[in-house]
Amino acid sequence: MSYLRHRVLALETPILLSLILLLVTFVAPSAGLSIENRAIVMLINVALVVGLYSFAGLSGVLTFGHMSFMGIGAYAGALVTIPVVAKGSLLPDLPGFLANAEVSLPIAILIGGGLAALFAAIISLPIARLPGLALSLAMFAVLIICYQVEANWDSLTRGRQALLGVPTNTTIWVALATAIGAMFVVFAYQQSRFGLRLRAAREDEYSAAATGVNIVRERRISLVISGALIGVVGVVYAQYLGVFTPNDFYLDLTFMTIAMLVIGGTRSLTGAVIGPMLVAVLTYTLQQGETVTGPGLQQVGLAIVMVLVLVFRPSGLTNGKELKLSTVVTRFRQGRADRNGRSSETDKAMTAVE
Amino acid sequence: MNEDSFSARGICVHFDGVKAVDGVDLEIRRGEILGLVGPNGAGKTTLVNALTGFEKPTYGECSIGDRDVLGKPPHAMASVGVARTFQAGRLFNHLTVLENIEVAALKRYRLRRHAEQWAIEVVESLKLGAIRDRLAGELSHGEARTVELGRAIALKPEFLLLDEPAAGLNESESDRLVGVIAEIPRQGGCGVLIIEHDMKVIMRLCDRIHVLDHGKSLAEGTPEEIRGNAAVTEAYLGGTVMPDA
Repeated sequence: MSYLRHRVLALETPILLSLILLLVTFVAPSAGLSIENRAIVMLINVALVVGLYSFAGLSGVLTFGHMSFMGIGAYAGALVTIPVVAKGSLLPDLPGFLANAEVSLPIAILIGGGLAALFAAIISLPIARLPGLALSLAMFAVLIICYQVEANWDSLTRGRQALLGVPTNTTIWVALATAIGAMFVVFAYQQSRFGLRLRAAREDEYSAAATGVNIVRERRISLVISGALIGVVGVVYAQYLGVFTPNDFYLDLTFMTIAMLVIGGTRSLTGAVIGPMLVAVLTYTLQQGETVTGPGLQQVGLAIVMVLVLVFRPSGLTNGKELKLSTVVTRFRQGRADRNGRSSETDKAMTAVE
Repeated sequence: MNEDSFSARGICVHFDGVKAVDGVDLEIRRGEILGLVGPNGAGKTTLVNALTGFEKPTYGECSIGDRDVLGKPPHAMASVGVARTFQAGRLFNHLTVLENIEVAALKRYRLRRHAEQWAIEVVESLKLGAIRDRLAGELSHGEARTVELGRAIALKPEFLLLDEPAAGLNESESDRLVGVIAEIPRQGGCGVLIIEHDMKVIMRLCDRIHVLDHGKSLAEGTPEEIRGNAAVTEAYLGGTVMPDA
């Protein structure tokens, strides 16, 4: 019994975060279709940034190329779900096994995630060996390659023209399930022996090596896990959009997701979840402003916020802390103590990553 | 060579013409403490780097028993039982004390559950229980050095190389740490190499002392022999007499 209690308590952070997302999912549809759609995109972004965090956050190596896995998942998922009839006219030169494939969303998720994971495993052979910045840049090169292939392999992707006819299976509940699933997978990974070793290497590569951590191997594992997750998100996102082009998985998205992770905080799962939520509110506000200022305000505003966070709170808003009930309770008590004239030590009250 | 020793022969580490380590023979025997001393820039840390896989020796041989271990990467050296600490004291700052030690414990126990148990044992034996859930980056210098030693011990090494473990500690902290180090060979027969500037510490701890100067071995022997060695006194202490043990 006490063992079970211990296990459940250990999952406190993803459970609390899931409850917050669940609340959003319940409330958003009542505010109209436009808000519901924004909530869906936000939930997908949570899943996406959590996937990004499983590499960038845990290894400490920021990556500029993980959206390539998203593109792979999106195209793979779309090609096996677009109705066979539609594929005949849209993509007449498709190889037979794809032309005749029409599977359900769960199967498409397995295919898209699996393909992205396979791709990640292959590129990890050379890339995981690279030191920090070189790894970031190599991943950026991978993104460019994937984009160019998607934009020019006309018989498979329709090139720069939009791929359409993708069934729109992604409801707000599918998006929620994706986000929650990603959170639990990544939390389990973070707490596992693999995650612990990867985090140790993030803190200090030399001591990690001296302590027996094979950094290349741990980064390779992390690349495959993050690749699989982001591939899955790609499938789900494509089934939300229904119509997409290679540009949907390129520089804009890369910048957006990195901004979300940096703002939320790269060193905690909580940061990877609240980052996209805050950015969703921020971009909504800025988009309203664009009716006055003209286009571009959204990106400029987001970039400025990211710079401000980097300057004033380099570890992001969560600063490496995870959301925990004990934290909330302590903060509440601290707040009452403050009102009674005692000094605040709220930061100390936050619990550390475990 | 002895089955139970970590031995290096003719180790050279040259950087663009600078001979940081130049033809050093060294043997760490199980169950003993070997002191590695010498003036600043003598090549002590470079030698430890070469023995632990952090620096590839230009020439030389390195083996444990009959097993050649030269050129293995650092994490593989940890796998064959060679652990080390760093002069600068490098901990995983955003991990807790217990997690720091658990990373090492994972090298001996596959599952986190078991690794955690062993890490807790190490924490308790070093009397770090009170700070085990603190972040390593928030520790005092003395606590941090003890945790670093604990992390190396948690690897259950057969050979442990300590690079100035007591640097920056006050006298009582240093005494405590020296006490811990003195116990290491008695538990499981680990062989220890220690770099240390404080000759009192060296004389008290070591079974044998190896003196390095300008990258070359100057002398090796028991503390008594080294104390009586005129060349060592000249090179290392500039003519002053070494303190008694």
